Amino acid sequence: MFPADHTAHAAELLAVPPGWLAGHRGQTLEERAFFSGAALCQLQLALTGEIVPQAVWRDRLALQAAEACMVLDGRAERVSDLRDTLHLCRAGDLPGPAGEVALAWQKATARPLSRKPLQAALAQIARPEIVDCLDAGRAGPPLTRAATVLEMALTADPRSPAAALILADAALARALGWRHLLPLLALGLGAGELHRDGEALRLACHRAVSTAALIALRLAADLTRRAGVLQAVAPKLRARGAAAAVEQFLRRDAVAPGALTSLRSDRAARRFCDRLLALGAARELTGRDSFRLYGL
Amino acid sequence: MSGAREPEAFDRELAALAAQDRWRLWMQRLEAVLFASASPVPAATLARVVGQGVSLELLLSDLAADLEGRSFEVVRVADGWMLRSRALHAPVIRAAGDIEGQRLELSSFDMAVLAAIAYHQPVSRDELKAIFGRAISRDLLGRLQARALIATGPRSPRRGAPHTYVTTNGFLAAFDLQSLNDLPDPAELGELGGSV
Repeated sequence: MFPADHTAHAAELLAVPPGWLAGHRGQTLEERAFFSGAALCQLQLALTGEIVPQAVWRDRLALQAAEACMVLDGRAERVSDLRDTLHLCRAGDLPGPAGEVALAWQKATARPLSRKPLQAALAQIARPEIVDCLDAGRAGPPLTRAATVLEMALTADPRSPAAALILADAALARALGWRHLLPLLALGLGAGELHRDGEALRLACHRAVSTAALIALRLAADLTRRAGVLQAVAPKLRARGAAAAVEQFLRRDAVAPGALTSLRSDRAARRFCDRLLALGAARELTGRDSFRLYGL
Repeated sequence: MSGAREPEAFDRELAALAAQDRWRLWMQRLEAVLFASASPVPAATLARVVGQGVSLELLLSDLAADLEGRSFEVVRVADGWMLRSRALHAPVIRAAGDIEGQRLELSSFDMAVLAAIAYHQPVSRDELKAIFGRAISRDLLGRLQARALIATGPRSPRRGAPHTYVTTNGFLAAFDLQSLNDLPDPAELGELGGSV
């Protein structure tokens, strides 16, 4: 692992794209394709380096993508509500419609990209054969493939924009040879753009990816800095099972103390979380006094 | 494993049969599984009784075509399928009266609460009270739960961690919806008294 200050510096560099890239989206397909390509290239650096804590980054992006889907669906749930839903659903409870979408994104981004897990991730929010739409995106440049899959999936099941966006982002990741799906189109496409077709949709996808890549990079830089702090204080955490608990913070968007079973008791888990707060190595994410959730 | 009986092995692939016979037998197997189940059968479960990688969609559409002109049909509900008598025969079935225990037997207030849950889910008992201006009895919610129309959802992050309620796939089946997005737009429900 890199020393914390070095890591933070590298992360800053990642998150600050060249001036000509930030804030420019272009008008014509050619211009937009140029900027989206450049943004994806910048993003690839964050994906391949060992600096960015990949798992927690994807987990938080997944939650943001789920929020974007709530907006598209006209639902009121935001990131904090979705996070609560995921953490307060016990065995035997159903997650409800918003929770299903959040779970779908979480599952789709957690595992390396392949058909079976993707189908399992989509099972509760769309028809199982929706995954066949992926086959439509086998040829052409990456964003053309993603746009084709998006259009196909929305035609096959117009009632599940979340499933269509998961598949489109999966097609994009696959076309780029990425190991995991990153939610980009989901973060960048607006409700009005979703139902365009042909070139208009491709234009919208290019703009969406340019915007979303920069959002993802800023988040990557922020999480890298926070993970650096956590790893720097990790040797000071002497509680039994502390290493496994730290690992949880590097993997998940949020952690409920009750889930930190490596610490062996609720009380020990609470003390561990309080200690992380005191050291500035984690945040409490809910702002509540009870049912608290912690994360980077 | 917990005393459950191992299912008997059966030949899924039916490689010995001619393609046409194989297809027919797969269709019959799907029909048998659907016939034997009172609730929708998930597509993943159906996929386990036919050949690996065979298109369930095609088999089921052939089965649907086969059932053309019969008194029942194969319908999709959420992520699964079920056999259901055709709506056309509803008055006859009701007149025959032999469906005690299967009828939902819900009062209009039960239905209003069910609708409120469908539109506002996940929703807690307190939130339902705020919607209706009166407490919703645990009995009523228990009745909806016993009919598998609702289930408990995630808990609310408040004192006592009250349960929320959400609708089930059984709810979708009972009201002939494929997904919650098929619910009528609440804005268009004005003429129903705006009670939801």
